[in-house]
Amino acid sequence: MTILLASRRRASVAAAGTFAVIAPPLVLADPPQPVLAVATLVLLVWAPGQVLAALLDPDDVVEEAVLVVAGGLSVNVLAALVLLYAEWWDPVRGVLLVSVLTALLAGAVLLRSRS
Amino acid sequence: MTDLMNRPGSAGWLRSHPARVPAAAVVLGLALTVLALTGASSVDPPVDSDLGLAAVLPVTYWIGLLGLSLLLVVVLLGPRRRPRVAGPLLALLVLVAYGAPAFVSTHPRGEPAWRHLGIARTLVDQGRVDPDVDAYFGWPGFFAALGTLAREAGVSMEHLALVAPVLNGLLWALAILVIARRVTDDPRHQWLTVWVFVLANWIDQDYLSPQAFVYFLFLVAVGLLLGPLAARPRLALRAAVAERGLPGGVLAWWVSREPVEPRAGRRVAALVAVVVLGCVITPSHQLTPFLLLLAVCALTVTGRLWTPGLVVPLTALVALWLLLGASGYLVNHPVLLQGSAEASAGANLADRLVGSSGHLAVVLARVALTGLVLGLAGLGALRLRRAGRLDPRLVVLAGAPFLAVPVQSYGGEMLMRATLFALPFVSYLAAAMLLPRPDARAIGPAGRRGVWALAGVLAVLLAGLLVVGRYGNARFDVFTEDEIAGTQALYDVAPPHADLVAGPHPVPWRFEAYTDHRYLTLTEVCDLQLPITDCIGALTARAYRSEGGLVVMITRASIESLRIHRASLTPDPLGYLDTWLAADAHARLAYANPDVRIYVYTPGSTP
Repeated sequence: MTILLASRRRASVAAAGTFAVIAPPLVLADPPQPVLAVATLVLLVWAPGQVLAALLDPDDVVEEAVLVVAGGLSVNVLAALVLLYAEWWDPVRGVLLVSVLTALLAGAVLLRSRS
Repeated sequence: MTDLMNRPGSAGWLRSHPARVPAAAVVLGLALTVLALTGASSVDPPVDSDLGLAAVLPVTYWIGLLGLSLLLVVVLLGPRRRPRVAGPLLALLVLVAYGAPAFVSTHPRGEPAWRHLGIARTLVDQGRVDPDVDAYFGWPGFFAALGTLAREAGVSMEHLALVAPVLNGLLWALAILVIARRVTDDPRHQWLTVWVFVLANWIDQDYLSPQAFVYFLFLVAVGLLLGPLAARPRLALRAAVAERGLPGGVLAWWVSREPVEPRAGRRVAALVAVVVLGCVITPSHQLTPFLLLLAVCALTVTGRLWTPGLVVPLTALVALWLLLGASGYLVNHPVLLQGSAEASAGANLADRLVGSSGHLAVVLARVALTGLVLGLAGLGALRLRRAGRLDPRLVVLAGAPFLAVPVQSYGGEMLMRATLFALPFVSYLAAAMLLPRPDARAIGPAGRRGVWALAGVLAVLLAGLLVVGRYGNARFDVFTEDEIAGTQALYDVAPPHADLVAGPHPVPWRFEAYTDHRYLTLTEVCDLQLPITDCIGALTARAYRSEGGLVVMITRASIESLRIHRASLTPDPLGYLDTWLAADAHARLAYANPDVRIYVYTPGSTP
């Protein structure tokens, strides 16, 4: 199945996927810094949310913002539940699971998409 | 005088520079916000009125709040209307209306927010879900994400709890704007819908909680149901029934549905998105999945949903979660079909219409605010219908949540929760009453002035009732520094695994050591309607039985809550209990400050 994405959306998905690859070593730095807290939230909420929102082809920037937040938080709920029920939760695994999922999804979307 | 009128920012100057109106409105909005929040920060807990915050907020707060509300009416309905300015002004209105308590106190308001911090901490500390702890651990989705995000980002959950009402209010407002855009192209109607919602939402469920989070997801899902997943029947129902009779005509009408969204790929993506949202909502909250199902069923039956099969995965998700994820809790706590319609009505209405005169005034303000908006919505629906612009989906979605009220009392909160789920759609219908009729030119300037006058009166009335209704419990749910310090001390003085007993809700506890103690309120130990000596007998019997000891905490908030809700109780039961405990040779006063007293029965100190 081909996914139709406008060039701006392709760029957003590419940015989210790239951030999901390069950010984890930064945000897992010890001790955490305030700027890294923001980077962590961007990585965990914006990046997956942006990829999912692009798939829904929102009508405008307001709808896109709503879908990004809802999608990003939803991915975190599901990831945290999987790790907790598997009794395998820790913060590093949480960050890595969300970032790997985001990077894989972004890659798949970009491979399947055409503007 | 002429110079004054032509100064930058004055009315005359704005008339000659219309392009500056948006900037001037935002600057005025910011000034009103600063005025309001400066006023709110001048209030110190405790709040000394049964009317709550409304009675103690200074006039500057009211000028700021009412000014913002009126400013929105002006930019949306005035002669030089600028709907695009409504966004920043509504954000400021949310900050002023929902953020005021955060400027009164630096601690989260109400007991549940504190409890939720403890649940999230427990989950990530244990690294697993123990469904036997309590109901929250049967629906842990929100807490799992909260604990994880806070731990990974190093964010203070207490600070998050403090600002949560504003964050949730903004998210809800954005999602409701998306919903409004699905059903009308008129930007004034879209923004007025959000304005009515923000001012009518006294229900106060936007604190740091699973219901606030999944309510946002519910609104996003409804936005998708009304957008990419929407359908419209090609046939007119009346004509189809006239031609084919019942039920053939209805069936033909329903089958004639066609998708509103022409792109199949977008419909599939939206369908998957709603199912994913269902996967997050279901393990996060007990009630919301059922209300999402009700919305899906209502739109399906009325032929407004392109994918009637959506109800299958959503039902399966709920059933699977009840059977697997939440079964440990449900074995001992049957939730469904709890109580009769009569019992539900009693728990939702009659039980709330009691208390001190101030509290009754607050309850009446809540009823009046809800009644006012519902009444406006009814009139708005009639007006839209006459104009041939009534979208039946809004009526269906406004009514569907109330179907749950007779089935489940939800601890006496079902009517409130149903109202919250209906409110976005009710707000849309109510907002229709504030817009000039399509033939407004025919009724002339006087008619238009009537609309502006109605909107202006409502701007003041709704904002006033909102603060009274929303913060009417502030006397006992805004905690003092001493109460927070006392609750911290509770954990220092409590023996390991002790039973902790506090007065009636609210108590700002359980934010740590959630599973280390057994937490009870006095009303769970004994019936306070009985003589207090019976209650003390039950309490001491429990102290003597408890292997880990027993700690009793009496707080100002509990005393006020009991007095306000049960004004008929005499003498002051908690005051009597305090005196009795002070004289009991087996109890030790372990901590005291002006608002908190803590007595400890250590193991072995009792006969």
